[in-house]
Amino acid sequence: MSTSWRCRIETVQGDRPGQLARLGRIFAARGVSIDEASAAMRDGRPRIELTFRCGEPLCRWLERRLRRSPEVAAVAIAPAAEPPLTP
Amino acid sequence: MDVAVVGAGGVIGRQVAIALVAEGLLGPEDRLQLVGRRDGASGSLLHGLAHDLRDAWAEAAPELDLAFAPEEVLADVVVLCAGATITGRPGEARSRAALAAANLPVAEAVARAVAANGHGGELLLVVTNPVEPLVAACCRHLDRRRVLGMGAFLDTMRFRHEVAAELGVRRQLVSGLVLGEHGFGMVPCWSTVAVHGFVGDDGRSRLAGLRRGGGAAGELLPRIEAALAAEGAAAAYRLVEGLDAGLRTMLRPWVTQLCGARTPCGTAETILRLLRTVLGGGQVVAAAQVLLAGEFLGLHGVTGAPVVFSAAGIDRIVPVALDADEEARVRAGVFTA
Repeated sequence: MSTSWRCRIETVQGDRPGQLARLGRIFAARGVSIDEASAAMRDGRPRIELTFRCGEPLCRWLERRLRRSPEVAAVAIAPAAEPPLTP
Repeated sequence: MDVAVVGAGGVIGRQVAIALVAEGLLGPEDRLQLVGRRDGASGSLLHGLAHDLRDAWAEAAPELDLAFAPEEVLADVVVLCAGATITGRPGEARSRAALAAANLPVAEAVARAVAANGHGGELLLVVTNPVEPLVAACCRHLDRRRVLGMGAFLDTMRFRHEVAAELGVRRQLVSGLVLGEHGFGMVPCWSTVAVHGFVGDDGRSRLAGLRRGGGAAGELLPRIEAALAAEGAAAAYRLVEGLDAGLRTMLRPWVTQLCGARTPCGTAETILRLLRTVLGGGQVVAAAQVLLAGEFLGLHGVTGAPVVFSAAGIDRIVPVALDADEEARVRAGVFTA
């Protein structure tokens, strides 16, 4: 069953060309379409926020996969219906 | 696409990892996970291998990730190369049972971890020997359509090469399968052999002439191993060259293994050949060790069978008619847990 998820990623370094595209490919390669995406500095830290839709096993896999990316410092994923995230 | 090589610190695993990068199968948009053991030699070696790969291929290299426990394995395709092997050292245990006892734990651990932590669509390619018990063990945790043993695929490619070499044609023109067990019980299925251009009475006669027999591999083995020990690899290979293509398929890699070279290049290139098609979205029609539930010859258990598969796993078993002797030998070699 497909659920809408909200993902917050804190990256190791901000302002690296193509970073959003590289992280987006992790989703695309597994057939997950990103519904919304934004990248900005928040509280002095580079942060990417995404919403996407998929089943829970794949969502948890994506979370583990993102954590292993050298560009990711922290990641938090929760159902989109829940309160805002803190990585 | 993410590919994990489990046992990337070993001879075969390292060659597979290098080939994946060197041949451009994995590029900057992909990820190669090198999996080893923190308490083994790979605990250090994999760090060096990753740096060496980046040094060699720089911008063309995929993202390189190191993992040191089965629980860390995270990929779309997992190539299992880890475990003990037969090296020819005096006194080592050479039975399939001893090898299975040594290697089952790592296969089970990897399959269990992928089942627990994966996304459900992983493809597991088993290279570690003995292939059949390891495939059976992995299928206890994963969908059997997503677990393939590479033994029959390797044997089939080797058989086609042996037939092609003897006829003086390119391997691509040869079709034919090696089914059954990956080991001396393998069954080169001459009844499935066809060579493009070898048609009519003359062509069929030439193909029939390739099938010279010459004894069972088990009977020839002591003479070949004695030649290897007494006179060296060249003498052992000369004995192998005098046999028919089916026997050469079984015995040439054995000499390569025992003379110390092992078979990293042949194994890695065959894996790459398969992955090139699968990762490119295509289908492979070949033989592989799979867990059957009656789909081929009514067999239940693990054996090399003709399959069509892709990145989504096994699509179907191909119905192939074998002669009576081939069928009997395939039936005899089925592994049932």
